Amino acid sequence: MEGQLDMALQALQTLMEPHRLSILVFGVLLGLAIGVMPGLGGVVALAVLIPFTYNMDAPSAFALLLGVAAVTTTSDLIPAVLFGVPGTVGAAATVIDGHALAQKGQAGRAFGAGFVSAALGGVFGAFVLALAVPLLQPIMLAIGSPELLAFSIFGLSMVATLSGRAPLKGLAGAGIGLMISMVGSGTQTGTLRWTFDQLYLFDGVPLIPVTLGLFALPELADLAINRRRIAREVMGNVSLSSQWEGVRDVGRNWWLVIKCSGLGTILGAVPGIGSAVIDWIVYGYAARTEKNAETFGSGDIRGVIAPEAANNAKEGGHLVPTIAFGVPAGASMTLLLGAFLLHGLTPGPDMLGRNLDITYSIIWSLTLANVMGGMICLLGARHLAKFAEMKHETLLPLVMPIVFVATFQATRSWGDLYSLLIFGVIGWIMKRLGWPRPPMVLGFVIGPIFERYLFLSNEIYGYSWLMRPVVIVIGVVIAWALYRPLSQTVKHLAQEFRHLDRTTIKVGPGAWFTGVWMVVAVAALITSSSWPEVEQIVPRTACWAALIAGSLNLVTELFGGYRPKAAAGDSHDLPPTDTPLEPAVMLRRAAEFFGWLAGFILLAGLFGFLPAIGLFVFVFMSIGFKQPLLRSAIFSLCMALFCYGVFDRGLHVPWPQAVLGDIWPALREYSGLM
Amino acid sequence: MLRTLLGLGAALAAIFATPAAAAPAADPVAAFYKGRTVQVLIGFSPGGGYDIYARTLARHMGKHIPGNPTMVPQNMPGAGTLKVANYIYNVAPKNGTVMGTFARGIPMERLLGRTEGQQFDATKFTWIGSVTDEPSVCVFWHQSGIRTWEDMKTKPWKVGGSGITSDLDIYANVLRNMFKLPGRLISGFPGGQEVLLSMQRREVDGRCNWSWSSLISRDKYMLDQKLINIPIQLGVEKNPDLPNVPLVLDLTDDPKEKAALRLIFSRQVIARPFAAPPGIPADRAKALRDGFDATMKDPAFLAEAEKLQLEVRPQSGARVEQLIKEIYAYPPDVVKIAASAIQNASR
Repeated sequence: MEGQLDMALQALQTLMEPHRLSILVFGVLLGLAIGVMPGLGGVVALAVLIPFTYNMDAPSAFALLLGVAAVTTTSDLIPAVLFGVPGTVGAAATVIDGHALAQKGQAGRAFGAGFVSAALGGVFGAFVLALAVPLLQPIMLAIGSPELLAFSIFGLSMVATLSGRAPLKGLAGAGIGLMISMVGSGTQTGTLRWTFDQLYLFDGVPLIPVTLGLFALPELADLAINRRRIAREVMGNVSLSSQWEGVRDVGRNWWLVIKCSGLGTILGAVPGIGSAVIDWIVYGYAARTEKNAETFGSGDIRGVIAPEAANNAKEGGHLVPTIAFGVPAGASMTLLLGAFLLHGLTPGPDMLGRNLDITYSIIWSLTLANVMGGMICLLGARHLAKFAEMKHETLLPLVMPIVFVATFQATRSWGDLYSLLIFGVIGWIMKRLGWPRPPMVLGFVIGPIFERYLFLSNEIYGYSWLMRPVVIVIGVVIAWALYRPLSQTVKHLAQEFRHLDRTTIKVGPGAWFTGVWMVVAVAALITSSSWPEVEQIVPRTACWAALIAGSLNLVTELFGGYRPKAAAGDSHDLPPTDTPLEPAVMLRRAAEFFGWLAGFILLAGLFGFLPAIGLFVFVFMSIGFKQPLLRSAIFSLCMALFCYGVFDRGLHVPWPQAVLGDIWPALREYSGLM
Repeated sequence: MLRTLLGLGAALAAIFATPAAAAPAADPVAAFYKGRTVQVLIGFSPGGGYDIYARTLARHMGKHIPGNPTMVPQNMPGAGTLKVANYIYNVAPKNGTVMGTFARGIPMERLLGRTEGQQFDATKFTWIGSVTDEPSVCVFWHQSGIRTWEDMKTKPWKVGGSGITSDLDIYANVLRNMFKLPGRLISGFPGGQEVLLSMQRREVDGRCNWSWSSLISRDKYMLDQKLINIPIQLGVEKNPDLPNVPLVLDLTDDPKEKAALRLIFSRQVIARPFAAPPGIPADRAKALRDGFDATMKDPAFLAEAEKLQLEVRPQSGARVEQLIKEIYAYPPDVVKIAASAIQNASR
């Protein structure tokens, strides 16, 4: 033990050498910048950076890589709070309360609380990892397929909490999310499920268009519809003092920070469970365990603290299976694993023995990066808060192209943009009709992990997997997590069904939307009937769940005389923005907004992606929002050049082929943009 | 309106154009590639063997192609690499700016009767080459009780797989079907590394197909500490490192079965294959193939491969093309035996 402490201190000393420290700072700054850009996360950054680490020594290389990877989930809070657009897939849960706080003019407080809890969470994760180093192998060997299955069921059980008082909608949404996650080739026989011969769908629907579509576009759409600034109340001063208030909030909720960090670390160690769901699971967990949780969803600072702490803590957890066994726990870890091999480090006994010093330098990098990231954000982010005071006609043209081009990084095909559009429309309708969106994301992300370990557990252990001690413990936790929401749900449903009005049928938008989902579920059942049996089980169960929950919901929609007073935070989702607009005006503006998005896809198909960004910004501003031509032209040029610099020159994005390039191949050859 | 937009588009295009691309040069291939990027598509997630090979190749190959294009690796996983194969064949521009790598078994899937989702004819790809051929082995955990081929034939065992199109599954099935072994295949692991972890937890007994070079570069300690047994090696030729481990081809005396095994395991010869779309201009195809061959001899590339402990025993594009054609020319009765051998046997 003593020797280990020595080694840990020595690793710190190595890392503190000025040139390594400056590499770490550079990594942190880069990671923060990437975290702010919606859709771009640590994975993109690592892929680009790894080649640059070839000629570095291992501690410097990991200082750079972990500096980047550790803090993207710190700064992703900034756009989440300001615009309701999550900066990485891990900040979606932060949007709920963080954005609500910004609308109340308390962006500074959300920043303060979020950055500090992120830094604390990150340090906590690193600390746990350091403590666990001698035990890493036994820990990982104790966690088999049944335990992983139990963790994924625990994740799914959070659907109950995250559905709030809309349990039927939540369950139906989770079922649909699970269905969507089954698209692609099956894990057992390779059957192509619901791919409709579309190459894009062979690997399933990618995560980024789904999260940005469900969570970012609805906020942007409402901004375009309501035509107001984000901060509806006077911002006051987003000063250090307002951030200090947030810091004090963290102090008051220190136990929550520790609980959520712990949960984030544990979940992070489970391969497949990444930041996209950890934030929701922890958010649900906080809403389930905290006292006076009814303010969650309407700007409760704890709704910011919980997911932020967990999402930075998870990086320490992620490293557990990566270091101990070379099994990457998340997308960023697969890249980091590649970097390990590149530097002659083999995960497993080596990294826990001969190369232990490097393992410790990795842990220190993680710790320092989190502290630095939090501090830099605390000092710098308040200047960005002014963006929330920008008018929609200048803000939207800035944010939308970034969302487009970032979405396109998912798989770099047109399908990403179609998915963004489709999930954007779905997300907006869900938001309007009070359908909680988090359950859908949970179903979507956990679905494949659940299916995989369900089969493996059954194949390897038969039913005896249920008797394993860790599984039983997790099972008890799940039962505890489900008990209150379920009993509330049953009561609530009974009440709702008692108040059904059998004399009048109301076919409102809610009924239509439910009906459409049910048609989709039925179609999915029909089209899946010919698959091999092993490939049918989970997808078809999801269909039936969606169908049953959907039909019950349809009944309440059609005959529902009784309407519980919609209190904010009911569904653990953003309350539909209170709007005095006529429904007709609202619908027209929504159609316009999504029309613009479709128009962008059309432009990109005609002229190429980057030229389309310039054109789009220009037309959107000058015609859409009647801005002066000169201002529109300047904006458009700046956006196009910015995207060109970052994505074409920086990331070498191969642009898809456009019609203009087909007509004039010379232009394609010449520019490489179409 | 439209004209204005078109004009604007052209103007913007001119702004964005890379000046270098316009520079005239005598060699049309060099002129084409100058200032351009060539995409290297990888049909796998980052971090695995194919990914490391592709990224290492991409880092060095650009300087061996006239005009020195920037080679940009990009992962495009999906459907056991069918996605990337389909994409390269049908969607990618056929101008020499895209090449990629997919599972070594993908080219022979159609021959062996698996056509779902296949949208290509493997013999028509522009084959660039394979970085190495690669012997492979079956590995069992030391506590599994499986030490030798004899044990595999007589005792029950379980190996892990990662989906019907992966070599983990195919090889395990071939052995079980062809030699009527009492083993089980437990499929659905994300990849070989997870199977190894599961083996150490004693959930499964081993994995049937572990590339020898990966074993040596990543988990040599298992061999040194006698944590694993290697009852059989998989390939068409015996690996000089393993003189005492029987080769799968030597385990049958039936010439047709032998031929069928040769057909299946010949994919180990093209262990890290690279291909470009069919029908790209002949001079650029030649430039890519020559560039590949030159890279394989580049000291910088070799030094880095050694650092990463990647084996390099290159097969030229012409050799890969020829091998695929040979495979497709096997007599129908041999193909039939091979096709039924890869089927997923009842559990």
